[in-house]
Amino acid sequence: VSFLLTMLLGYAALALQATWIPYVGIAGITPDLPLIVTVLLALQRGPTTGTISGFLIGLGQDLANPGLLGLNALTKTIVGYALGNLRERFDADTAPTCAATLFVATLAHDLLYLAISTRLVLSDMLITWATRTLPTAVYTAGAGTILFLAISAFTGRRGHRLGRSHL
Amino acid sequence: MFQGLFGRYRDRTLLVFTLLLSGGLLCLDDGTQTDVARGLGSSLYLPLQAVSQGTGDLLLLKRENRQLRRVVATLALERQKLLQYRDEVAELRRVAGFAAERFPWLMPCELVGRSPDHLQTTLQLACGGGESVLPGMAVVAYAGLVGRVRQVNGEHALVETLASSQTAASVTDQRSGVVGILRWVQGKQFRLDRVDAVEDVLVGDPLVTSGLGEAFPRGIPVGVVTGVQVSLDGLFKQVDVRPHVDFAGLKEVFVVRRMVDWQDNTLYSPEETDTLHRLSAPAAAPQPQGGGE
Repeated sequence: VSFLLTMLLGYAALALQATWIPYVGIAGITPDLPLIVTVLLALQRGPTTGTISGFLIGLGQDLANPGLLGLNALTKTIVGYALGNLRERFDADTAPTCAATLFVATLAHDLLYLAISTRLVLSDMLITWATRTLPTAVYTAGAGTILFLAISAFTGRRGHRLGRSHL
Repeated sequence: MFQGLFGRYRDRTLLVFTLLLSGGLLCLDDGTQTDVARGLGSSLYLPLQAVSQGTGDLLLLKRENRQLRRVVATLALERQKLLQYRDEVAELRRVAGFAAERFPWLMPCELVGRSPDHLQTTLQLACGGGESVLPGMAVVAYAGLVGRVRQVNGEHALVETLASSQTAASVTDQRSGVVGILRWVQGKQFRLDRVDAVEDVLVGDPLVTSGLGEAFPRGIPVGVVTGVQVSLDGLFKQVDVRPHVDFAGLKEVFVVRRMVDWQDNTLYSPEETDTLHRLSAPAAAPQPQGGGE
C-alpha cells in the first residue's frame, strides 16, 4: 500500500507538472514538482524509496522527452539516494532546512543534468545553470516548503515523518 | 546471493541497478529511445494529455465566453437600431417597387483540414451532404467572405477560398458603388480587375460582394482597398486589395445554406431567439415598431 501510494504521488506530480504547473510559471520559470516529490519522499522514507521513486519519476519525465531518455531517471535516482542517506545527518523536518535542502537539491540535480546533456561544455552549462537553474531552485524551494508545511499540517504534527517505507 | 545483496546492501544494489538501467537507456540510439518512449509514454501520458487538453480548452472557453457575452450585448443594441433602418428601407423599397432584401442563413462548420500551396488554398470542413451542404454554396467567416464549396464527399466539404487562382468574386466599392472582379495574385495580395481609369476608387474604401452573377450573395464584406494606380496603358485602374479574412488563421467558418427574406424573422430558431433575448436582455434597447424578433 505504501509503495502504491508513493507511485500515485509520483504520478500526480507528473500530471500536475504537465498540466497545471505551466500556469503558475513566472517569466517561464516553474517549480520542479517531480523533484520536490522525490526529495520529500527521500527525506521521509530513506534511500530505498528515494532511489526507486527518483528513478520512476525521472523515467516518467524522460518519456515525454525521448531525446535524452534516462537522463532524468539517472539524476533523480542519485538525488533520491543521496538525500535518503543524508537524512539522518541533519534535521530536515523544519521549514527552513526543508527549503535549503530543496534549493541545494535543485542546484545539484540540474548541474548533473546539464553536465551530461551539454557533454561538459562549460559555457553552455554555466549560462543555463545561472539563468534557469537558480531561479528554478528558488521557486522550487518555496513551492516545496509550502507543500511540506501543508503535509505537516495535514498529518497534524510538526516535523512528523510520513512513515517508514516497508520496502 | 541475491538475497544477500538485497538484504545487506539493498540500497546500494538498488542504486547500481537503477543507474545501470538509466545509463543503458541513455546509451540507446535516437530511434530506439523514441520507440521506447512512444511505447511506454503513450500509456502513461494519454490520460495526462486528455486532462491538459481539457484544461486548456476550459480556460480558453471561459475567457472566450466572457468576451462573447459583451459582444452579444453590443450587437443586440446595434441590431435593434439596424432593424429600425431595415424597416425604413424595406418600406422605401416596397414603394419604389424593388424586391425585398434577403439575408444569408448561416450554418457553422468546423475546419478540419487545409492544403495551402502556391496555387490555391483549399479548406476541408466537417459538414457535408448529411447537412445539406451543396457545391457552389458561399462560405463566410466572422470577418467576411472565405470562398465557396467546391466538392462534397460524405460528411466533408472541400472549400475553394478566395486565395485561389480558380476563384474570382464580383465585388462593389461600398462608398462609390463601383463594381470590379476580385482576383488573388499571390500570398495575401488581391487585385480588383475591370475597373476603368475614370472610376471612383480610393484607398481605404471597403469592398463587399456585389451579388452579380449570383456566385456570392450580395453585401458580404470582402476587404479594403490598399492601393490605387493607373495601368501602363492608361485605360484601367490597378486596385490592390487586402482581404478581411486571414485564410491561414481560420478556425471556424459558416456555410451560407440559403437566403431568407430579412423581414420574415426566420434567421434564428426559437431556441436561439430565447438565448439572444436572455443574453441581451439587461442591455437591450426597447423593441422598435415592427422590429421583428
